[in-house]
Amino acid sequence: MRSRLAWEDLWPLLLDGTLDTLYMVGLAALFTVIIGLPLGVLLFLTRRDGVLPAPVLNQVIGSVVNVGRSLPFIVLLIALIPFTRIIIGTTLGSTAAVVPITIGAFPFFARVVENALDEVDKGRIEAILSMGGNVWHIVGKVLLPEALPAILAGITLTVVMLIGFSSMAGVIGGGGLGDLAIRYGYQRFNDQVMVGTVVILVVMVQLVQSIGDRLVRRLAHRR
Amino acid sequence: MITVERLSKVYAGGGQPALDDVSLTVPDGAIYGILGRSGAGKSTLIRCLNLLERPTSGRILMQGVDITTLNNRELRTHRQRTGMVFQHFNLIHARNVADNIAVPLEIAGQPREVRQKRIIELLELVGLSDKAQAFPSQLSGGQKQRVGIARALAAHPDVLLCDEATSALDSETTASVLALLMDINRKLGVTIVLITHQLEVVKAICDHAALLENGKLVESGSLSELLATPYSRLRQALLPGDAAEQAFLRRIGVSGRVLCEVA
Repeated sequence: MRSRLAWEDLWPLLLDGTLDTLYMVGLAALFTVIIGLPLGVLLFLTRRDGVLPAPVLNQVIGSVVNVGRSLPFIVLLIALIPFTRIIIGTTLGSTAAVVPITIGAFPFFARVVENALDEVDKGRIEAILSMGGNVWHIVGKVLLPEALPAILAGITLTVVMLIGFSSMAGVIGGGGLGDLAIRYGYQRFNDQVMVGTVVILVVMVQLVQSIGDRLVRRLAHRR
Repeated sequence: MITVERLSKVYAGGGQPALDDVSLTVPDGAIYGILGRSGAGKSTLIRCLNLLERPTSGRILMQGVDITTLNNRELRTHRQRTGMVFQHFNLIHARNVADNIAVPLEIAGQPREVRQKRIIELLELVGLSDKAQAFPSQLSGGQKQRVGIARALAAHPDVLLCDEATSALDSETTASVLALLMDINRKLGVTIVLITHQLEVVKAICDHAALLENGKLVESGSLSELLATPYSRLRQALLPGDAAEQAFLRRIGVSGRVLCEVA
C-alpha cells in the first residue's frame, strides 16, 4: 500500500534527514582525515626507499589498510556493530554510524595521501636534506605543501564516498537520508520521500565536488 | 680544505663500483671542477660530500673532521654549512622566491627579522630583487637557478656543491650563472665544488680540476699545474690544439690550404 505525506510532514522529515547526513559525513570526514593523513604520510616515509625506511612497519600498516579496503562496506558495517557498542555505548543513531563510516573510509584516504605524496618530486626532498633538514622539515616544508592540491582533491573524493557510506548506514539504523529512503521509500513505497532523498543526495555530491574543485584550482593557480 | 681519501662506492646489486679509490684535495676558496662523462661517477662523488650518498669505504675530511663518522645531528649541522645547487633547481613550488630562500634559515632556526634581512641581501646578490614575490613556475630556467644559488648560500655555508648546475640551461644563461658563481667565490670566499660534463664550465671559472672516468680519478690538481704537464689528459681536452681544429675544418669541407690563401 502506498503512503502519502502532507507537505508540512514531508518537509521536516527531509530536513532532519539532511541534517543527520551532514552531521555524519562531517564528523566522519574529520576523523578520516585525522587518522588517514598521518597514516598516509607514514606509509610514504617508511617505504624501503623512503625517507625513514622501515619495511616491517610499512608492511603492517599496509596490511591493515588493505584489509580495511578489501571488505565491502555493507559487511564492515555489520561486522563492526560490537565494536561500535564498546566505543559509543549504542549501535543506533547517527553518532554510532560515524564509527563504521570512519573505519571504512580512512584506509582509502591513507592510500590517497600516500599516492599524492609519491607525486612530489624527489629532488625537492633531497634539497631539504642537503640543507640539514630532518624528517619533520621534509613533511612540513615539502611533502604536505607540495601535495596539498592533490590531497584536497583526495578529500573531495573521500567526502563523496562518505555520503554514499552514510546512506548505507541507514541499513543498521544509522539515521540520515539513507535511513529515510529505506523506511519510507523501500518499506512504505513512499515516492515523495524517495524522490526527495535522491534529489538532495545528488545536489549534495555536486556541491561538494564543485567546492573541492574550486579550492584545488585556487591553490594550484599560482604554482 | 676538503680532503677525499680513498673513497669508494659500490651500489647494492654489485657491478662496477661507481667510485673506485678516489682521492683528491680541494683547497679553501678554490673553484674545483670535476669533469667526466655521464656515468663516470661524478654525481656520486659530489653527493658523498654532504653524504646524500654514503660511501662504501674511504674518508671525507672537511676542515680536518671526517664527516662519515658524524652522528645524525652533527651531520645535519654539517649540511647547514654546505650549500647545494641542483641541475633541476628543486625549488618548492608552493612557496614564492623569498620563501624558498628562507627554507635553510628556517631549518637553522633563525628568527624572522634575521631571515628577512638575509633574503633581501641574497636577492640583491643574485640580481632578483624584483622577483621576491614570484613563484618558481613564473621564472625562467636561469632565474630558477639564481634562486637555487641564493637558497644554497642563505645559511652562510663554507662550501657550495654544484651538481650539474648549468646543464639544464642554454649557453647564454650558463655564462651568466657561471659569472655569478665566480662573483660569489670572489666576494664571499666560498669554496665551490662543481661537477659538469661541459668543458666550457671548467674553462670559464675553475682554478682546479679533476677528471673522472669509470669511477676512477684520472687526474687532479690546479689548472696551472695540469696545463704545464705535457701529457695531461685535461690539458689535451682544454687545449685541443691543431688536430681538433683541422678535423673541424675538414668536416665543414674547408681544407687548411684554402683557408691560408684566403687569409
